[in-house]
Amino acid sequence: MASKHSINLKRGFTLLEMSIVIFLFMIIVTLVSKIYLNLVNSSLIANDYYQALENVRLGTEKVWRILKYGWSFRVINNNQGLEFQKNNCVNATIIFTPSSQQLIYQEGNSATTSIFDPNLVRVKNITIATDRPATDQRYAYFQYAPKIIVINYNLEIISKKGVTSSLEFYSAVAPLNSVYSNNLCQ
Amino acid sequence: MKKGTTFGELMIVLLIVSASLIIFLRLSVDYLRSLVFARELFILNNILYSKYQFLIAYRNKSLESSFSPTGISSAMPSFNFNCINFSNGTFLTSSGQCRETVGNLGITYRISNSTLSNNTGIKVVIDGSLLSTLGRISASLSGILTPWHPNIR
Repeated sequence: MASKHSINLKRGFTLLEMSIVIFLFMIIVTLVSKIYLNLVNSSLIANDYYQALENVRLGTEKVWRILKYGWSFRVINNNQGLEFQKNNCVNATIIFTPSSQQLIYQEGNSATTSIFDPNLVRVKNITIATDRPATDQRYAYFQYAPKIIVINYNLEIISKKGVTSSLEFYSAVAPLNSVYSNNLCQ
Repeated sequence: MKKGTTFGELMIVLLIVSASLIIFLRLSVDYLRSLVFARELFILNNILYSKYQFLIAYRNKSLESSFSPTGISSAMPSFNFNCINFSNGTFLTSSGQCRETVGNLGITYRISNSTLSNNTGIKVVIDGSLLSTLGRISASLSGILTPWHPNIR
């Protein structure tokens, strides 16, 4: 009698119980790993995104600084480029190239450089506009020096994971030298 | 002897599993929210700063008409508008609500100014905000505009 009772006590799990436990365990593991992977992916995308945003900030700041101290601005290439002289009177160009989807900067006859990192930022479109100079002014440079340059950046931020995000904004520059009555570079 | 898990124990286990799942999910969502926030604050700050550059240009254009080779020493006039924009090479100014759309974002802003006590310039404050999926994001920019003009001769 005693041995019969002890046999009953040692009864293990049935196959059905084990299957249910394993099934539930698998579901939980799948769910948790999927969420964990999402978390890691989000973190990687966030990292790429911040890098790209920082690259955009640096690029636009570079353009802003060059234009702030430049001379003799002229909008070219159907409002997608700008020709000007730098503060050291060297000729320079900023131009959007649709084929490479980049904003290109060239100083004199030197090699062209991209304003943004092509691996992080894609340029969808650039529109540049200036105000109308006051042609009735007495002093020569006033007659063609714009008081404001407005650039519309239409960009796309790229993540290594293939996720892209659009980033469109305006940047405006009031050139410092536009208040001079003549161009010191001429 | 046949005692299994009680309802209370099951509930505790369920609570722990759900809490850990929610924390994981929340972290992932927070990353993405911070991306959206960084992007929209970047756009808003750029718009406000471009408005400040518009004001500098507007001042330069105003001063230009009374420019003389010896420079300008008159006091800086206050701006009597809240909004400044630019279209077809012309500055557009107006009062009331200032709204602007950049991409798919609607931005509202307002320029206020006050003459400084010694009358050597005006203090400009540009307040702006945009309504995003995260709620309203606000930013403010202030600076001092002087009637500065170069005296090059």
